[in-house]
Amino acid sequence: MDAVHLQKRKGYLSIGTGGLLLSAGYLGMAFQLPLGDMARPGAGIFPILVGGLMVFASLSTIWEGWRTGTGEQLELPSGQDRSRLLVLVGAMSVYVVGLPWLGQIVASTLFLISLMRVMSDVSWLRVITYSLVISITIYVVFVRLLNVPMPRGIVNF
Amino acid sequence: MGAIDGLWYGLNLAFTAQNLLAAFAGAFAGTAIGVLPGFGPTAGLALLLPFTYAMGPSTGLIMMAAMLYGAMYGGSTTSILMNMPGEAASVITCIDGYKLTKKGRAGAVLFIVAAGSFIGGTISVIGVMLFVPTLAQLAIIFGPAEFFALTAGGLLILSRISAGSFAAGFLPMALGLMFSTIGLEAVTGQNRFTFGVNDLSQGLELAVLAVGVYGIAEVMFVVESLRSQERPLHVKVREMLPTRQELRRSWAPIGRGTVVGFLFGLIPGPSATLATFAAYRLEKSTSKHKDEIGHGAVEGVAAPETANNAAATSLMVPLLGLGIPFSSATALMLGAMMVHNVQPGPLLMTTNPEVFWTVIASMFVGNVMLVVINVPMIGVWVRMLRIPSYILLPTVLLMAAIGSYSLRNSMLDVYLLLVLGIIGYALRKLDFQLAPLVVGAVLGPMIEKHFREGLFMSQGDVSVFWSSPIAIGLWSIVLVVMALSSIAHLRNRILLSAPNEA
Repeated sequence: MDAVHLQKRKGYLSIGTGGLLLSAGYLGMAFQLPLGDMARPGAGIFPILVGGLMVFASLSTIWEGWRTGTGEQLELPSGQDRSRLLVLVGAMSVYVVGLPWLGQIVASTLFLISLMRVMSDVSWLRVITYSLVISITIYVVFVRLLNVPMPRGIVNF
Repeated sequence: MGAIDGLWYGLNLAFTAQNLLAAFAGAFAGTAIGVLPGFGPTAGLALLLPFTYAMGPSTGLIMMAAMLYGAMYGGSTTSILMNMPGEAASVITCIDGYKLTKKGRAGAVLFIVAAGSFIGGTISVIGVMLFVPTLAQLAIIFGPAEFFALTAGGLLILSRISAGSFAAGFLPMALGLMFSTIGLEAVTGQNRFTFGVNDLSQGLELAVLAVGVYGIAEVMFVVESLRSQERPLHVKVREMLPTRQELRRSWAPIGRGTVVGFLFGLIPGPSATLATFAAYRLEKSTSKHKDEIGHGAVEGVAAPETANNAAATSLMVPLLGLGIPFSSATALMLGAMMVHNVQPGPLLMTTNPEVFWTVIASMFVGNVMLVVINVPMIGVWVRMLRIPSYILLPTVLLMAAIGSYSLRNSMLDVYLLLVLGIIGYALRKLDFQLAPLVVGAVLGPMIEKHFREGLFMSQGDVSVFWSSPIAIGLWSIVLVVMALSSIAHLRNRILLSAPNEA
């Protein structure tokens, strides 16, 4: 597998910092909830405690990252591996955004075509055939037999 | 209702045509999803559980138990046939399992694994029957302070034991607790962290969380490191049966694996994974054929796989007796049981004993069905593994999206599935643990409930949480475990860095 390396230290520092930012937003919203009093704690008490835990966890992560040597590396994908991963995320994103408008069959088919092309060397004809067969089978099983009301979209089945 | 009467009642309910069909379907679907590389039992269970919601309680419970056993067995199959563990608890099986496959003994090994899983699971169910009533009677004297210590303390132990470093378990745990606060607050009906989105008032769906952080993330890992797919070796039917010698060598490891697995399943943490490693180590030190273990010995497969199934079953003890899940799989089972109006916990045996015994019977039936369908269907699973990844993985992703949508007919769940998948991928890439995240999301509401009840009953006096002997005892155990884990981790770091300094 092609790989680039990321220092584990940097990864931990990033996650810890992200956690602190998340905690700040979370606590900001938690303090706006009714707090009640100690005898009758309100809806905001537990989230404040959890937000405090998250602050502690984030600081711990930053601390561990700080103490981790620069020698500890993590492998990140590069080259074709990264392309495949990005296509996967991109295809899923387009699928979830496009599903309400395109409908189950069209969105699924496009999703399958894009992933199958990236994950294999088979011909376009086979990819399109497999994608259509799988999309229609899934439609029949889930929408018709199991009555899952998936979006119909432009095909309107 | 006595134990024999209860079990008889439960089995009577279980052995109807509908329930047996549900058990068959559950074991089949569970094994199929467990066999799929890149999904694993937890994500697979999360994907399949919503299909049980429309069924009656006993049918739904039976199907769930069969799915759980099937998913665990399926994860072992890929370890043995393709050297690809379906989950952490199947890692150790790869060592001897794959070597035995290359020696042409794949069918025999799968047979032994099925038999060992059945024996370990069945004996473990008997243990559950004996332990749960005792635990439930003990738990009836628990108040909010004790339950708070148990849930919060158990979660802390899980987060510490799951991971090597403190942050790797603690940060996901905190994130899971944050997720648990999203939605309508139970006491006052206040919306929390919903950003005005109506669908979020119901909170985060557990199945979406589990499938996202486990399943989608795992598929991303598989796609990222896609290699030319190794085809599993063809398993001939006549090679299915183990030889007499192989059977003779399996009995003792199965027995030892059962005991180890059952005991590990009682503690919070990655019990099944720890049980498999412990069982393997035990075989390496006690087996008559210890020199062969690691080079393709049946003991190296029989013991860990039996321990795996026994632990997966005994994990039900805290779930049924206390209503507290200590693993991702039991967290999902708890969620599914509540959909069926089954509230596990100490009162279950006294208020609804028939439900309790139905759950026990469902575990027996699920275990039996595992053997009945998996031994003759080994060829089917092998054929499934020969389906190319480029067809299987995108199809599985689609099913995950549809499954998520079907939970409450909401596109929000599909969006969250993708987002959680990316979060799960990022956390795993950096060696953070996901089990504390999922269990935190499930235990969060319970922890909050017991915390607020404790304050309410003590009129705001926080010392109530460490004033009873039971609560003090539980918190002491938590502190000892956290301290020992930290010391062990520190010691490992020093040992690892010592040669470099020399």
